[in-house]
Amino acid sequence: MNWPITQPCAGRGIVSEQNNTFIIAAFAVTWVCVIGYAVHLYRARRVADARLREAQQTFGGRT
Amino acid sequence: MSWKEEWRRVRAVALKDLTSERRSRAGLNAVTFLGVLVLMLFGFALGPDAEALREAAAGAIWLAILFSGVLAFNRSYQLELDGGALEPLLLYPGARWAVFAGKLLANLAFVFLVELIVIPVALVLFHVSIADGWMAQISVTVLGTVGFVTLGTFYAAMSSRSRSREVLLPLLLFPMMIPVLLGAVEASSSLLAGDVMQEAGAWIRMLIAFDITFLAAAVAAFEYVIEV
Amino acid sequence: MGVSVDRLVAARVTAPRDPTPWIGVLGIVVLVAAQVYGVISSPPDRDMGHLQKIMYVHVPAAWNAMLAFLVVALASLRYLWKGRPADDLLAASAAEVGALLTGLTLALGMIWGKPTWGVWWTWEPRLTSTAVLFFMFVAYLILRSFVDDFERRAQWSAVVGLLGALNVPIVYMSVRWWRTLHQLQSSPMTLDSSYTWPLRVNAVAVMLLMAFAIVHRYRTAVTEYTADELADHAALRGEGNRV
Repeated sequence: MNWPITQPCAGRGIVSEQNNTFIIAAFAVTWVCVIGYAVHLYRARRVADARLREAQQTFGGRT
Repeated sequence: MSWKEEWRRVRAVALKDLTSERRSRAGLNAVTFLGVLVLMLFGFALGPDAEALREAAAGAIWLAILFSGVLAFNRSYQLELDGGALEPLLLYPGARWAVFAGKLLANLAFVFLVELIVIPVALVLFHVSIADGWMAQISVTVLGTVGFVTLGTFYAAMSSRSRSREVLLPLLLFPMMIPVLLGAVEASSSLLAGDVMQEAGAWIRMLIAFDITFLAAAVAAFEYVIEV
Repeated sequence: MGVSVDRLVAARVTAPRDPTPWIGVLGIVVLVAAQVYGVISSPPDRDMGHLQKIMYVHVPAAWNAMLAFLVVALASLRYLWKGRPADDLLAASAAEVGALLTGLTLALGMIWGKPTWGVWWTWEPRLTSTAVLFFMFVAYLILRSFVDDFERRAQWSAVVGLLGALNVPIVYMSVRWWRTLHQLQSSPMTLDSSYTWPLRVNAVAVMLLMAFAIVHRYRTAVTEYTADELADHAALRGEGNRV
């Protein structure tokens, strides 16, 4: 991987470099993706189920 | 099925495509003109500074070829689809890859003709001289074109038979083109700069490897694409 | 194709409820726990400080995107081999989740790159090939939306998926050449042991969620496919005019 070398340090690290905005943004973006996709999955399932029910009612479910 | 017979099929398909292209000729003229137009646009976008133009020349030439050439590939199937001639063509005995190889050859001839106009115009517009090393420069052009046309002919077999084919072909083709484009542009531009870093040879070898890989993959996969 | 279709349809018609949503809930809980564990347990990095925490979302997303692409390639290969519709639906589901994860990886990489490298984007091999991977995923999904006939869509997207998979290492190699010829240093990766476990736990959590998403999406695709099949079979029996 090409990220800079990671090493732990004692204490709280260099305070000036702790860009909390970026960290919060990263986790926020992740959760927007997770929740957004979960909603998408739920909606797609609901639409598909409705279509199947309709098809079964119209065509009797025989294949 | 001997190789000689297959070659006859390949040639027949190629000649058929080239003949219909020659009789209309509208396609070749329009595509060539578009290529020159793209070069002009690059000239305006990059400014009149001769040095900057010379540095960007290789990239501009290849992108002009890409943007104009991509219009040719859908045509190669479109004429047959319009006439309902693709199914009969596939019903003829013989291997399917022969159809692909024939179309590939016809498209190669088409793109080479476009390049015959576009590249000299680019050399003039961008103040580039290829006096020394023109042999290497030509071989880079041929290798890059072979890779480009192989992938283009292959993906057009799908895009020409789907909705919004004009958008779909570049979407499928350009990401696949990146290695070939990179190799061709880097080889060309280092040759144009006199190949001081001696890196053109490595890129040419890489282009040969890409061409063989994509050619083999396209020939193998064509049957799956064309049969449905 | 006849037998497998009927089996698919029968399975979907008889299955009363899909139990997978609970796995999704579990996955979300595990992900929250893994992130809390990662953020609390690991010390700040010597150079990056707390920015290192972005690793716990960025790297799992990248790893799992690769995994999703592997699923696409394998399912595509099996479709070309066996011709079963189920494999195509699985490939499509994995591609959708994979596209999301690749996009997320790129976004997180930019958010991490800005404060550590000072730029949002650099033409580094790994970054560039991830972007190409993203474009190929998206082109794959767009191709699917542009083709209506099932068999044609399945066959074509299987081929596009496989060629895309073939292209990823080639792109990576060529971009690496492009950059190394221009003398760009790339730093070696050394990851201290205090970060490995949180990273692994987070990767597993994301993998769990990804598996859930793919399976859920796949079952939805099977449901849609079943509805289409019912309509097609009815049309074949001459009942299509009723609607």
